[in-house]
Amino acid sequence: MLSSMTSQRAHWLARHILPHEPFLRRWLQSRKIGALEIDDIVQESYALLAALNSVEHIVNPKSYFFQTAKSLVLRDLRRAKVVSIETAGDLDVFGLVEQITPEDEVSARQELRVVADALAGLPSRCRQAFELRKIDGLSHRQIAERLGLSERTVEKHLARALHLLMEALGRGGDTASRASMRSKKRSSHVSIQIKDR
Amino acid sequence: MSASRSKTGREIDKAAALWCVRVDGGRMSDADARDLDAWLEADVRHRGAFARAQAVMARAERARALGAGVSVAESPDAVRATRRRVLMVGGGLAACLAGVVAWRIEAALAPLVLKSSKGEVLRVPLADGSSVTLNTNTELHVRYSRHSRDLELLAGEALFNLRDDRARPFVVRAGAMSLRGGASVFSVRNDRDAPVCMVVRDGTVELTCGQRKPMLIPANYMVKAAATTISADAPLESSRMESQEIARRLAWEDGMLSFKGETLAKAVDEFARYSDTRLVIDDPELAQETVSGRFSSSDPARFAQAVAVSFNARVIDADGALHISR
Repeated sequence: MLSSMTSQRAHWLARHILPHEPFLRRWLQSRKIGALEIDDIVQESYALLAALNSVEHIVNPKSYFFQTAKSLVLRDLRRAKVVSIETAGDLDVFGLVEQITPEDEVSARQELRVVADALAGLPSRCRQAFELRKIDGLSHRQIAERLGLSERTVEKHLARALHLLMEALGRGGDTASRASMRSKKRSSHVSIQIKDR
Repeated sequence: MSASRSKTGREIDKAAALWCVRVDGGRMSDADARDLDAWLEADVRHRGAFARAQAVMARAERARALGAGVSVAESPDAVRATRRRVLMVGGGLAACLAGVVAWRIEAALAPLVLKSSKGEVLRVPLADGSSVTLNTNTELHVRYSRHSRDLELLAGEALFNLRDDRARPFVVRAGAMSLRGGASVFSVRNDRDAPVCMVVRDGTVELTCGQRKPMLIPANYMVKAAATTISADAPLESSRMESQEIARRLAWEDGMLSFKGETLAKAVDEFARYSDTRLVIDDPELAQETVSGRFSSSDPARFAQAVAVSFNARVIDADGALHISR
């Protein structure tokens, strides 16, 4: 069954791949690859990583992730046959991937903070449902009872929460506002802007 | 990259999120499972998005230590529960509340004294339909007459939710500041040894300070006296805030503390306002680490635990305090 990716693999992806996704996207962007293609490449890279028999041989997951994406870009370029000079010139830069070192690993602490921020930015109903599921471990039915919603609505809230988290965690900050996440800018100091009477 | 070329990555992500939630909920019928397999089979991008959704889910699970969900974890319906708790604190308050509600507006010679103790959040409805919420350790004097509604914040912090009444201006005094509001919601904080600070959440509030001309403060503004004592010319600091930031600052209303990148040292000071359980951070470097998340203000132990987990530290109960150290 295709849907039976192990939960160890999901955790491995969560720990070793997901934190690098925003970098990969930015890097692909800087290679002048369009946004839609980037989505495709990222998704397909995950598919390949999820389908691996084992990940034990992967010493540097970030590098592996970038390599995977690179091979997909090259495949697409070959398929497209007409390779624009600009893109072709950039292909050399792909060589840089090998130089990525394990120090690029995101610390667990940073990672937790990013998630906490993303959670805090969810619409309140979505967040409530999501926290009840993931922190309290309640079933969908129990959440429905607690919040006075139908199970179907709970499912919708959960799916929306997860989708927004995918946007926030995977794509990094740049598209977060589009996903109606909380804006990064909090308060800006201004000199007295108050009308004297 | 084959079928459904027209679908964007985001649409696929959305569908993947829904599948992932369904699988996680554990209530997939055989037919659902077949549908999912068919969907995954249709496009490699579907498989990738689904794996990615599961990874995000797994990552959120890892983050529970940070206490991002303490609010809900503590009580299924945090807001309502807090209100309930607020309205049922002890017999003294019940009597006091009854007193306020039944209170005759006319001819109140002595002010009504409202006090909250440490860690307490008191919501008190006033006779005119306005209400006031007292944060921890707060003392507020209320004097209503036929022509005026005068309140004085002697210490602590309070949130005022005003019902407009043209005939009777509502005036809150705190230190040298005097605030006059129509229909509005604003908070005032008057701590000893700290400048008075006010935040307008809704409506507009007229601020008079020392000999200055009155100023109109619109919603989403914070005004702070620059010094503890205010002379007529002492500068006021004002800043505009996003409404989320205001909500965060007023999280105490629901018995919560909400941090967004504050240092641990600052967070610990905040907890000290609410609880006698002392938190001590022994490592100065650790004290400079920053925290984000919502925490119950009455449960510093839980906060300490969350901090310990996320910063690889330990919590030691010694000398009547919780020490957090690495």
